[in-house]
Amino acid sequence: MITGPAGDARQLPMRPTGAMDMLSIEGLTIALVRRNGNVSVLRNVDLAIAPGQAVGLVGESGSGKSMTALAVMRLLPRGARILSGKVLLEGQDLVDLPESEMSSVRGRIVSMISQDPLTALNPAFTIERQLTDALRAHRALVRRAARERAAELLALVGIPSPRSRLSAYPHEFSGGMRQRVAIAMAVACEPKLLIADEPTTALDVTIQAQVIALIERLRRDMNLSVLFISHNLDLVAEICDRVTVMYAGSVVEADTAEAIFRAPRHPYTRELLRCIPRLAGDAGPLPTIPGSPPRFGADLAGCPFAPRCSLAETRCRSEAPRLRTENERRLSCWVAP
Amino acid sequence: MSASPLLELVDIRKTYRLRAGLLARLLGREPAFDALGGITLSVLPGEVFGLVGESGSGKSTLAKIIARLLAPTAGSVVYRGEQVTALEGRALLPYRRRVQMIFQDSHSSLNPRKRIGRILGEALAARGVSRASRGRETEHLLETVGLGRFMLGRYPHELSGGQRQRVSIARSLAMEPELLIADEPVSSLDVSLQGQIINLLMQLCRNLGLTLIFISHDLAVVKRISSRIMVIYAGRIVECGPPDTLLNAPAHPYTQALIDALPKGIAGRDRQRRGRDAAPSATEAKPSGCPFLPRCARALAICGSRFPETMQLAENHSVACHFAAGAASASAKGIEQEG
Repeated sequence: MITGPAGDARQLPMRPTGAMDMLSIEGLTIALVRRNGNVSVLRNVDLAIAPGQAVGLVGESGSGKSMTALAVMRLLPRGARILSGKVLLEGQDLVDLPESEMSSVRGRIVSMISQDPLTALNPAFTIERQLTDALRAHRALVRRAARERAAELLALVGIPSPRSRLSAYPHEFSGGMRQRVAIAMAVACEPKLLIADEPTTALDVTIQAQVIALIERLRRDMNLSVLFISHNLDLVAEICDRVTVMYAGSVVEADTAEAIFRAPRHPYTRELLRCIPRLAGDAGPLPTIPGSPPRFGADLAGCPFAPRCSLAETRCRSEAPRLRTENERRLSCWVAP
Repeated sequence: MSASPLLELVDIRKTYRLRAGLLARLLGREPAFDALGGITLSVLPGEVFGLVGESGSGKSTLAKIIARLLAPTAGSVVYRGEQVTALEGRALLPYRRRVQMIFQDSHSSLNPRKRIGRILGEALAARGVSRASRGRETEHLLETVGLGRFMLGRYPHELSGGQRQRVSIARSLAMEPELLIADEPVSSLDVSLQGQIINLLMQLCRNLGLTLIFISHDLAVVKRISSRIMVIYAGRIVECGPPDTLLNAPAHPYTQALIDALPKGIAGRDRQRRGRDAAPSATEAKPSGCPFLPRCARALAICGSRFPETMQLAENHSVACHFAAGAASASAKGIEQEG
């Protein structure tokens, strides 16, 4: 366990040995099944979230972040199939769970918010209807009680005059307010795990800060576990206890947030961190990672990052590195120390 | 400012009429929304002018007015000393050629049914390049934006986001423009690719002597590349100045809020733990007042009733804020008394 230099004030939820993880993904491999063969999208992904912990999942688009989230929700796109691995939610494997049971898991134990809250909200129904649907299904609340709870939820996510806003439609809210409504829906049945897939990417920075503060507050008050998916590393650093970095469908590095940001070891993690535009940065060309991530289905002999890696050796191009484990760190690289 | 400006906007206003009920229409009281409330600015040749603001602030409306894709409700657009506000039809074509726009979403700005070679070829044809030399010029354009000639036969959907944005840039260069307006050109790209596209734009500006208006909500990027930054809020200029001044000594509370809102990485963890201090006054301003009032922590009584006039704080630094103006005149008085 690595703590900050000034003594870490926050109680980092530690994983007591033997205690069950909220979520544990083990060796998850997913492929798109096509007529002319399988296209691999996730390879052997491991990820664990302890109760109350926030884990960040970062990587470029196409790295498999969202696919991982959708696998947990069991909402994989048509054609995507879990070839091997486990998705253990409180110890229960979701991979082969019948759909009828899965639908009682969604919303009640795990729920998800996405980048675009408009896709989560039905434009034809009032906010009340959408909030109470889940409550009446999972909690068997009668209409009046559900309405009360819905108003409470809107207040919880910081929507002014919640009672009168219940009868509003999604289009009457601004982007930030919609995301708050989507969050209210997601936490309506007090799930234990919230998956936030790029929840603030479509929002302005000032609104982003508010939504992040909201997620952080809910996490504290409701002891939520959070899987926070983002390509914004600075944001991940602010709120996550642990970080998993993915590249081309594989985990390349995972550790505590402190360790990842203060002492990154995988060349890809280092490059990603170097690319964040900073206010303190000098004028002049922005740092970049040359090349682009491999396309889906590209033949990946060796390390997928090798073609863009300045440290790559002959071995990196021919043989895929295995995920090494040292204390809290997971690292998949031949050359990184 | 010695060089004469390339582009001048004088008191640009844009009002959108909103749909009104029958009664309101009969009474002639149609509700309207002021997207831009009097924007005056000038852009120097060869400059990278950064335009920052949140969604709904009027950034894109302003960009479209400059590109003459939208007509302003009032005010004038002056290019190289010539009025272009009222130009229509054929008379507008030379201006359209010199001022090119690059959009955020290259997916929707490139025709999905045309190959890249044809997309670029059509742009060249529009400039009047002969059929015979189009092939060579197309390849040259691709080379300029760092793409190979193998792109010619591809369709937009076959390209990655970064490659598509390069094609959009190549298409705008086909017109041999003088002024590029890039409206959030990298917002939909990954960080690792953002740098590539921005560096390309900067390199083009240098090598081809282009002027760039760069619109973004990312202060860190804008700061890095711009010679001047203008912050707009609710259709008004709230602050304008050189990047270092604006970011190290922001005068407007909104500029400060933008800086504070940027994620701070590992250093921001304490802030999250403490919770953010947000004490906005939450008072509604009259339409004549400062639009930032409801979110402002430094609001004065006057802010609710009168929009602050733009005040020059230094040669290149201006702000429209009653509080900042008060602070500036107080410190000026202090200096006088000391002297």
